[in-house]
Amino acid sequence: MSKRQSIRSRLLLWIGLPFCALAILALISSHLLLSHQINETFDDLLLNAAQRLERRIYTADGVLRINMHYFSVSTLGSRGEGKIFYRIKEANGNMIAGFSGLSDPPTASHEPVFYDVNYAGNELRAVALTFPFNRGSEPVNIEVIVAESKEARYTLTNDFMVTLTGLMVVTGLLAISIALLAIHLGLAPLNAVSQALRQRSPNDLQALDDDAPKEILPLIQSINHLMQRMKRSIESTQQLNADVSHQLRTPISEIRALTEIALKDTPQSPVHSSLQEIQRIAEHASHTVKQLLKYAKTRNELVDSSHLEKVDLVAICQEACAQTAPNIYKQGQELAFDLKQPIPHIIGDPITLRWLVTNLIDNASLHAGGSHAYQGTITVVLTADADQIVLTVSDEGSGVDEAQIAKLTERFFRHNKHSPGSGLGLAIVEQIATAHSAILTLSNRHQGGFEVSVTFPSTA
Amino acid sequence: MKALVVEDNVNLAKSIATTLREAAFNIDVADDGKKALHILEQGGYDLLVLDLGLPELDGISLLRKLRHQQNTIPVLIISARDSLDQRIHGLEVGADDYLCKPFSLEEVAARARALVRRAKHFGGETLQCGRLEFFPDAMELRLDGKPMLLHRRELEVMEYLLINQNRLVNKDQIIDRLSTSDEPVSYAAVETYISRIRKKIGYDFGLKTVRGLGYYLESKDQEPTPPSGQTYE
Repeated sequence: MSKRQSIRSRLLLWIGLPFCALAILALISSHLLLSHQINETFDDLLLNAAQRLERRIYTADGVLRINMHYFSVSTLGSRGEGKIFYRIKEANGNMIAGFSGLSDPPTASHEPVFYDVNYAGNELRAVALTFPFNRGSEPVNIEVIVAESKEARYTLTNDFMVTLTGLMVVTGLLAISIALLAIHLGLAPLNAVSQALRQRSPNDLQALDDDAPKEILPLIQSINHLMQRMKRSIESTQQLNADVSHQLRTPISEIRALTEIALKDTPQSPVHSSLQEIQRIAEHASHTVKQLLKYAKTRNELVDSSHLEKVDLVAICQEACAQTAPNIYKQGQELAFDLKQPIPHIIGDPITLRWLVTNLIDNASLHAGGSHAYQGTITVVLTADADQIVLTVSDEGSGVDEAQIAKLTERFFRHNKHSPGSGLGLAIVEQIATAHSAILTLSNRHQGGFEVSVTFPSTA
Repeated sequence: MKALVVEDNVNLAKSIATTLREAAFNIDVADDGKKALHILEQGGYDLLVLDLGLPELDGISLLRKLRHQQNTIPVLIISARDSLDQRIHGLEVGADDYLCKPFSLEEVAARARALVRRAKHFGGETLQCGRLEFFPDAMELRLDGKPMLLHRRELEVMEYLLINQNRLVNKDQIIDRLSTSDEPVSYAAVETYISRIRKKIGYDFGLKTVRGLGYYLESKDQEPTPPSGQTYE
């Protein structure tokens, strides 16, 4: 797996690398310039020392002497650091004072000559100065050489370079921090978009706000365009689904009606059992078609959340009970509605919420008995606390195999193949619950029977 | 009882007509809205079974015209158009009940009977439920033909329950029905009336208490039907 590229590290790299190169270049050129400047300054001081030495030469009884205590040699030094060596001799070769081992300058000149020299294991910088002098009445040329060890120059250069490097590092760290901050601020709109997408419900295909900076506007427009296409694709699928179901309604009605008539006309006929089977299948098909339409409709409405309103769940439950009651009582089952406290209104779609409740009641009515017809009570309960409202529909039947509970909300899954359900009931319920940010919980009850809870977040 | 079935699908028209004839209706059939309007002008119909998708004049327009003419004939709408919006629309325009395709013929017969029962009630006909018979004009309840001694309020409750057989009736509806008189009626009072009615009738005549919801009177004049996956929509 290759490492995912990051815009932040890319930006950091492209800001950091040139910065480092520039810093190194600046340090090298500073070093060259500094060494040059320091050398010139020190050379001037060295020449100055040589000229001072020159002034201390005098003649005594026709002999050249120098007016300098041995220990004052060090005062010749530029900064009093390092070692000082000197040599004074006549141009014709007579030594006057100093270290005779100091080498001659590479060229002889009347101008001062600066040169590097090595003496007694010391790296030295030397200056040679030749000037005319009168020994009595005899004119002589005297050569003065003053050499100084280079440590002072090195030390000064180093001090400068250390300070400069330190400054560079501090500036660099500061620059990287500023760059990080700038990257963070620059990427903020991008993070805002990804967060906005992450916090969406899976069914929310509304367009993103396009008030983003122009650099990410094309991205947002592409996302919005994609969502638009997804929305259209979902809508056309649902429309097809609705059209198909709708077109099937009339023919299925005809089959059912003709079968019912034929059944009455042929009580003793050998085709009676076949007709009964046709009737059962037609009833099943009509139930499935109705549920498919509901499924299509609830999916369709998930995309559009514009017609949500304040809904009284108590009234919804009462209507759903009134609607399902004739069928429930016809089958010898009973209904009950328990309301323990006042229930705050929620924001929702009253039509799909009523489908949710009727589907749960029908589901219990169809499946509570397992392989037998159910003969018990179906109880609808509404409870509320500060955070949530719970709608529960429970029965006292045989319950559901624990291993199959998770599969119940799958489309066309029927845990009891012999019951006449469509396999869509709980899928529809789940879809409606999801659209209302509610959580669907399916469980067997301790006291026997099955229970479906829909937990709505409280909007109060 | 005379009913007009307006349905352009021949198979469905024939089946509905056959079923309603068995339920003691005299049936005429029309296959479009215009013809239906013409036939209805002759009068004498107790029920209109109306498909919404019709050639010429569609069901909703026909119904609107009828109601505009102050015709109060009970109307049962049958439609392939689903959606509760459609249903609400139909009921607003003046339909009395709404049945969505695919339906069972048995259901059509039951709804037709219920509609006529509710309408006939105002015409002074009696209400029946098993061994019980209610005479609205005389405000009298008879058990096996013998008049029973019930308080006026109890009779009113009984009348309302008999009109609304096979329907869930809540206490508020009963209270609305009774509150024409001066004293307001409480839930507890309704419960008292119901328990007295039960005691006086003395056998299980099909009245169920539906916890948290109200009451349900199961009519005993229908043959019991096998359980089916039919949902009422």
